[in-house]
Amino acid sequence: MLFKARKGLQWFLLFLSGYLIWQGLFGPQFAPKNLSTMFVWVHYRGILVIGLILMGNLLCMGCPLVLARNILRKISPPSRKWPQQLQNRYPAIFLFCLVLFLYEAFDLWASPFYTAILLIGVFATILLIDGIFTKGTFCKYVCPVGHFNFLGSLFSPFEIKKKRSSVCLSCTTQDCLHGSPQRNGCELDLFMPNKKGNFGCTWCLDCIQACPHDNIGFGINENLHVEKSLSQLSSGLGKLSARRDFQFLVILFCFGAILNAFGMVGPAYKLQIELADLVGWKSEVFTLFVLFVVFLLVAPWFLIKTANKGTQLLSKNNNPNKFWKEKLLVSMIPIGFSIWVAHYLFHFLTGVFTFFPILGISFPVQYMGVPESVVSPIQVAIIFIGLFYSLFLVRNTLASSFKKRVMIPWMTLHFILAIFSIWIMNLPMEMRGTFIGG
Amino acid sequence: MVSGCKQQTASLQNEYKVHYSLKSNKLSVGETDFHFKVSDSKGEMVEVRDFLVEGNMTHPGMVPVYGESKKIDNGQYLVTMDLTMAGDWILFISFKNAEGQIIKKELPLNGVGSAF
Repeated sequence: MLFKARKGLQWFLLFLSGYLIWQGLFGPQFAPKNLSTMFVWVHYRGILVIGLILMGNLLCMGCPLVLARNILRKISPPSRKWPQQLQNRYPAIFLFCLVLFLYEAFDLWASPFYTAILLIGVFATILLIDGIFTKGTFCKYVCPVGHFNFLGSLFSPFEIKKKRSSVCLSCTTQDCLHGSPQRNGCELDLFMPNKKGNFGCTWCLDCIQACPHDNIGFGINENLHVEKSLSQLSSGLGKLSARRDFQFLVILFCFGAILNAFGMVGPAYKLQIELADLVGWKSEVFTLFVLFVVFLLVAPWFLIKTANKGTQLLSKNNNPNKFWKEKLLVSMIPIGFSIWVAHYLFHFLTGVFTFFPILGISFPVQYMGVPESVVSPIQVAIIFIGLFYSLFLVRNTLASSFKKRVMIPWMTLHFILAIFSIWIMNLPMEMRGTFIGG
Repeated sequence: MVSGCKQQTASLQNEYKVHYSLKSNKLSVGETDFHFKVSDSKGEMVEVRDFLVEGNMTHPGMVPVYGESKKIDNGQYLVTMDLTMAGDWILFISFKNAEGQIIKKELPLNGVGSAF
């Protein structure tokens, strides 16, 4: 039943993707009147974060890209292994950055055509990569949306897990990992007995189908102390919090959330115009590039370095827990995720039924979306939940080893991120297609 | 036949021109009064009916706003719209000519400032 539901969801999303590509290419080129921009930038992102909060990685589970890839692989099975040098998260980090940049540079939210081109590009990328390389290469190393979901699903209430450890201990075939002639094993190299939490898991259900002992299923996610679970060895992933690529991913996830929201408010436009005037070069690509460097490199480097230095000073260089830096970095994930959720839910809730007129169905204007006056407090509440979660992780990391004051630098950092985000979300949005040089 | 119909529709749409001016100097979030003028190809005001204005943000998923139209003279309408957000807007205008044919126009409304 579950497997059929997954297949059904994949086929539905594949047809929907095809329709949205067609709409984007040939439909009306005004974003609010086109289902491509409407569903991709409003509904898909909203449903994605709601799915992560209420269940888990549902949209990876129903990913139509994987279905398209599987169809291709039936015709032409891949044979090569993904190069050793690229067996890390940097390809996904690069694409994550690229998508954020293209979103701003091409105003993807305002362009059905470019939205369709992006969708075509994503399908082409998975077909190219997984058409050449074996296993779940695209999902594991390349997919930016998947990596967003991996981090978001760390806090999901459910995960796929083993039912009884004793059964795994007596298992000799390890079909969940290696598969069998009839069934695939985990394409992302997660070995169920050592799997911790949702990171790296696409909820593809292959392991559930592969296990000959019916010992794998959905269960409550017991790895919500992410500062602990990510600091332990996990199957197929190693010790995540210590991995440099994972640390970059966390920084991008957190500061990218702020940048993505900041890109839609007046001060961002003013800043870019002033910068363009200052250097005398009216190039949006240039000003955006500077903004990205500041938000994703300079600001994180300065803030994290300062917080770590402050922690070190206040602890008088007495650091019994040698992993405190990497654990504190992990504490940025909840606040980062809450900023994404607050942003995406704003668009989703305020315009949840705005697609009806596009379908030719009349719908009362007053019920097309939740009023901003209702959504704004929800956004603030979500960011505060993220903030308190992050503070909780800071406390867990430092409280047992140090005096309370040692927590001040990192807690201050989280407060700064939360307050800055709330300030952004309370600014009126200024969604402009073009603003530099007309 | 199809192209003939399209040509006829296009030329009919081009027969009418719509301009607007603002009652206030400041274009910002909140209730805004627009003075619309509908003219024919010779530039003369023409009598039209069912004059409707719909405002949309350039971002999808934003609830459209509809203007309240009040006829003030032949081909002239005062329309009050509650612009809910700063940024770029598109105004979709539709009306019927004397023969009852529907005419549609799109006008940009760029740079709506914040209320503060």
